[in-house]
Amino acid sequence: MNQRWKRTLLPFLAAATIAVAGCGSNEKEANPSQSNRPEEKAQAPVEITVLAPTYGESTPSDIERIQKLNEKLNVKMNITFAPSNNYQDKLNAVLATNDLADITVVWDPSNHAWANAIAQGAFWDLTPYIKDYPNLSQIPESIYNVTAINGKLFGIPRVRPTDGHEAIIIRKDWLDKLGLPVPQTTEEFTEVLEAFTKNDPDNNGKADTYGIGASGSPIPQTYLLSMFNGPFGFAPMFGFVKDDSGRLTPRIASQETRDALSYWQAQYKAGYFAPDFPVMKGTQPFDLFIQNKVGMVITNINQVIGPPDWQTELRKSVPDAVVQAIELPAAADGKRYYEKASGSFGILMINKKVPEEKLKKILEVMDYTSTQEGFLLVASGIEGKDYEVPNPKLPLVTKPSEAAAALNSQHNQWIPGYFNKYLRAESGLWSDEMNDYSHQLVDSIEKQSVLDLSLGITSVTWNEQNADWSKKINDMIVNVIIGKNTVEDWDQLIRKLQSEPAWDKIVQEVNESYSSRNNQ
Amino acid sequence: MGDWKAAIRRDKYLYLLILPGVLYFLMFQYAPMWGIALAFQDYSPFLGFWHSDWVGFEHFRTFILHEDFPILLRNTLGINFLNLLFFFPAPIALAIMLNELRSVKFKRFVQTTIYLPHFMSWVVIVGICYLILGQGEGIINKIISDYGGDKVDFLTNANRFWTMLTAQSIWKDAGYGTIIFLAALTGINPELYEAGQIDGANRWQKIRYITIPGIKSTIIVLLILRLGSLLSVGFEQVYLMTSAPVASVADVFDTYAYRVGVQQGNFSFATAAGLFKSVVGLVLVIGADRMAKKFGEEGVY
Repeated sequence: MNQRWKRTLLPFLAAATIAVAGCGSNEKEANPSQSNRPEEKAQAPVEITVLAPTYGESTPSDIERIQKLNEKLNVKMNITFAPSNNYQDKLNAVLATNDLADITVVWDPSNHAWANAIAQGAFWDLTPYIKDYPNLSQIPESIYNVTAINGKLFGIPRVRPTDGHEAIIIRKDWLDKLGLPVPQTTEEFTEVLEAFTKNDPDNNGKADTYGIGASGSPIPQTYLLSMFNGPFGFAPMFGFVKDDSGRLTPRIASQETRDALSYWQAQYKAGYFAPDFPVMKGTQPFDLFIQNKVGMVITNINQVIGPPDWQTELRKSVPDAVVQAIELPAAADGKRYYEKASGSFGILMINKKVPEEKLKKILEVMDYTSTQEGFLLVASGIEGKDYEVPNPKLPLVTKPSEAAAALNSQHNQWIPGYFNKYLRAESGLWSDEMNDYSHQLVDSIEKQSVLDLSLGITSVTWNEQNADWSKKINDMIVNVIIGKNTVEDWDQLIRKLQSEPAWDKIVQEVNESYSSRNNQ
Repeated sequence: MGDWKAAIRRDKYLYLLILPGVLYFLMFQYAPMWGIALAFQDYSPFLGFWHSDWVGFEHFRTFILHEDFPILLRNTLGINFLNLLFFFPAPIALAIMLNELRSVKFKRFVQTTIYLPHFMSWVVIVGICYLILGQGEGIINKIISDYGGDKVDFLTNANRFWTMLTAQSIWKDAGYGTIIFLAALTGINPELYEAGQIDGANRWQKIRYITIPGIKSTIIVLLILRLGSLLSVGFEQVYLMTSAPVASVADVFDTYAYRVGVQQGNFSFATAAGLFKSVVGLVLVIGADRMAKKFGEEGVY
């Protein structure tokens, strides 16, 4: 009897023991601070908790660079990392359970749940504080404008360059071989597309090359439309333009968008696109470029440094290959259209539960980490030990040691960062001339690029329609380009969306927010 | 009254043994069912479960009257009927063929090989499909064009999309599906085959008159259960295979619920769509079960 009882219960006991043991070890990990640091300084360091995404592993908060930061500012940073691929879920969970850290990295504060929390006063309004911090007030005004919600700043932007993310990467050696100039206009661009496809630029006797490689899945590359039309895709309802009366109207309904679609439809029909455009994803066209199959792709200026480095890879099979970044061609009206990026990716929001004294300490940390010195310390570590600077002219281009490389993709996530407008156009692998050329390219693009007028504006109605409408619009763009649908089908889709009540509501909301933003 | 107390006391260890299982079902299967109430509310995470507005059948009405509903229904049923027609019989045919093999070694080898794809995730299978069927670098199209044919748009042709899904399902799961039929086949009395042998039945006749009738009840039970998911399509597979050119035939209830429910944060609507599917499934299962019983079969319960 006793024996049988034991036999029945044993597995459960074992399971229970494992469960209890599991809980115990978790607790221990959760509170390392109490046991590790019994001695207190004269003025105890301020403990600051952070929640940030990680693209690699999650690293401890006691590594050397963070300790240096702690000592310098008399703080104790305690950073929790959550994997980037379900970071949004994690954010929603901490919000729903009201378990916010002092600093939270929020990718999209216009998201329904976060917009509500902001309205309910869950976060500090930082607008009055920024001016007291010399480095934070250095961040370009335009970035703050786009980050602000109803004119108020609820987070420090994580700065990113505003230009240099759209340029044509072209096979300069193919151009030279075919005796073509660098395309400046749409006509010249079309000629290059044709020559790259038909005139056998790789000299193998077969017409097996293509003018351009682009991706259409899960959404078509926005640059295909923005280069004829201005910023496309990242604001409410794909962005807005001002009409003659000064009112903002949706760009998708414009004649230029329609013209761009029929232009690409003709090019696709002529066979200038690399095949599989509708199913190709983000970086797949780049692979075709490296394989000597396509002559042009549109992407970041320094995308070509890889890894793998495009030119080095190409030269393994084509010794005289030359890869160069050039400007987009001018549209029919003779102007070049670039979209200016918002200049930030996500904001660092501060919990309203934090007292004002601590808030100032937190802003001090933000202020320091937005300087070159502070940025390099947290993002790259200690010079000479964690990284080297291969080219002294480019102090921000670092070459991490092997051990430090794994840490870098994480700690740069929870700081505002140092604003370097050439970030997408420099490389330690390039010669000085190459870097100079790319810097000039960015300068030239910067003068021409425009910010979408509705960027940073939250439209509640758009948020409700976004997933459904975006899919319909994006699918139609791809289908028109590949000729499965006609441009008239596009018109019909736009007319149908226009006939829905949500269309007018979105336009009205965007216009109201826009005029209230500009009147402040 | 005293009876069941005595019964519990007598078999208390047996009850203790099933307790974890019962608790599991109560906690993880039955308790969350109250979440169905979401479908009848205008749920907002901030107001919470208890304070959200009650809207009755509003979400169901919008869902069924939605202009995309007929397309979603057509796609879902289309994909599932193709599956029912080709994917469902595939494991049966395979199992019967395996059963006819006489070399045990060869049989084991084939079984292992055809089970393998089941353990690959859809991501991998879709990836392989893209690699071999693409128009640029795809090996199949390379072969076709080398022999002078025109390249075929396997991945982007809306007319081929459903066939493509069915073919993938067969490749992935037909082998693994044979297990249950092979088990049923071992239950057939070998004397029947011997008797058939003496009566001069050939192999085909033995399959036709002994094997198939022997596993008929298993086939019917599985078919009834299968009908329960007539409105569900494997989300992962369809979602991964979707691209703009095939979007019109690839949008099914599950992808729609994901888009509206998860991406647009309309939880109540997604729950209503899910519940609608389950109710239709339940009706189909019960209906099919009654039918089976009418024709003298055993049915599911």
